[in-house]
Amino acid sequence: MTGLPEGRAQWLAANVLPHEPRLRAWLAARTSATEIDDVVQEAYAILAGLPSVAQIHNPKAYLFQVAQTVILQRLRRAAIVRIDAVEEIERLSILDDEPSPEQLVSDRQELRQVAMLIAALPPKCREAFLLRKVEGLSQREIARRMGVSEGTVEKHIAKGVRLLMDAMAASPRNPERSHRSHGPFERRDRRRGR
Amino acid sequence: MGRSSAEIDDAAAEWAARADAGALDPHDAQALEAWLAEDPRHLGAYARAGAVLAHFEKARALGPDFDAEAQRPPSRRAALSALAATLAVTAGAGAITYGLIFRRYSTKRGEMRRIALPDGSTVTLNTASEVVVDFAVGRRSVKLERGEALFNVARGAKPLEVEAGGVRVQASNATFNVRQHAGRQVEVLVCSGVVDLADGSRIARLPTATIAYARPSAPVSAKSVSGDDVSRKLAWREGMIAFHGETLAEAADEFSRYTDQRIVIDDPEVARRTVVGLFVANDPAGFAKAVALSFGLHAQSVPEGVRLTADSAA
Repeated sequence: MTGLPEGRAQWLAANVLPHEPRLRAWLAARTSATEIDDVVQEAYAILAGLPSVAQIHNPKAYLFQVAQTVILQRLRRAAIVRIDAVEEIERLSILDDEPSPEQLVSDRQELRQVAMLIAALPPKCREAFLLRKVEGLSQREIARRMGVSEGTVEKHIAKGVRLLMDAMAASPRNPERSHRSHGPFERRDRRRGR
Repeated sequence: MGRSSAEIDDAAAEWAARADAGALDPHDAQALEAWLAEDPRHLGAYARAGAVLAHFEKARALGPDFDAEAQRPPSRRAALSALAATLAVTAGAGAITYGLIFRRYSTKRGEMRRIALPDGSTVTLNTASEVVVDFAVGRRSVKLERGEALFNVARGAKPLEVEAGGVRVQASNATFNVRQHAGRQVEVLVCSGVVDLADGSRIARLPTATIAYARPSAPVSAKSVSGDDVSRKLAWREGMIAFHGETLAEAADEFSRYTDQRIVIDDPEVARRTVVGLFVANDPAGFAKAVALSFGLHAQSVPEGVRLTADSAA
């Protein structure tokens, strides 16, 4: 993808995205709730900026290591830090929470989740997304098929991506996120003062 | 610190959709580059948006006949509960591991039980034993409430901690046996690897083939043992008891751990005789007969089990 090293988005999808719910749960125990999204973004930035990921044999462990580094940097930047916070984070051994290899969902369950999440998108957005991802049409072809402008298709795709970004942060083990009162695609609006 | 992560995600999704449309024109490419350089979170959010787009490539497997309407529950509420149901199924797979996070296991007299821990370690419980497994967030510990257990600890980032009678034992990638004796004495036998034993303030590092006795606020006593000693100590895993110079009184006590059938020895002379050999743990009568035969004693069935006497008249 433009702006990212070749194949990096696919690598992140396969090696990082599946661990994100665990990462968020782990972060929830160590940082304030308002910071989790920031830390996740910064962790992705570090992973996106690596010249190569070929040397990473255990992406999950690496992801948690990166997240720990981010928290430490943030703590040191902060004007006021709880006196024991830095020490506490530094003492952590990353994989304590991970007594066994992550129980990744089976391919079938994963496909089912993909189907459910796409199905729950708003209708136009879902139609564009299905044409793009299931039928593999280009955005231009989708515009022709749907009889709308390419800009509109791009907006549908953007909306779909945006909603799915939030949905992918939710986890069976992080029910607070997936069981929001309004629905899986309700916007995160806690910091928008609404 | 600038914009909220949600706003950054909004922009990242828009950029990802634009990049998904095809090669960016020079103006857009420059704008994207500038935006990515503004804040590391921009790059992170954009990379994450790209990962989400790539993840949904899996939808190709749904095939052109995929009926989203059929998938789509009639209302938001239903959508949510359907999603929750999917996630619950997903969670079910994880429950094999994470369901055990905090749990108590025990064995009755004469039972033995092997427990797989979430981290790949195992605990084998000997007779009349009880452990509490605590693998809650950040924890990797087992408490031996009573009895005896063999711990086979998998390598991990943090050692497994075993607590028994106020004594703490820590190890990673090691096999060790912990037994609570009467009077709060804890016996730790290191079969392989290295085990740290903490009694209050001090830590004793025990190498392989060491047996240590500890109790809270008392010095640890430790000594090297032979491979044979280790095997004898672990004979219980095969349902056996191995003696190597124990008195008959001690042997009788040992059998009483495994069965309600008692070995009764009233004669102190008899009780002081020492015994060597491998015996079936739940068969004290067989043991008594074998002992009687080799020492010229008499084994007699009594209501509570078997009585060992020096002669038939007693």
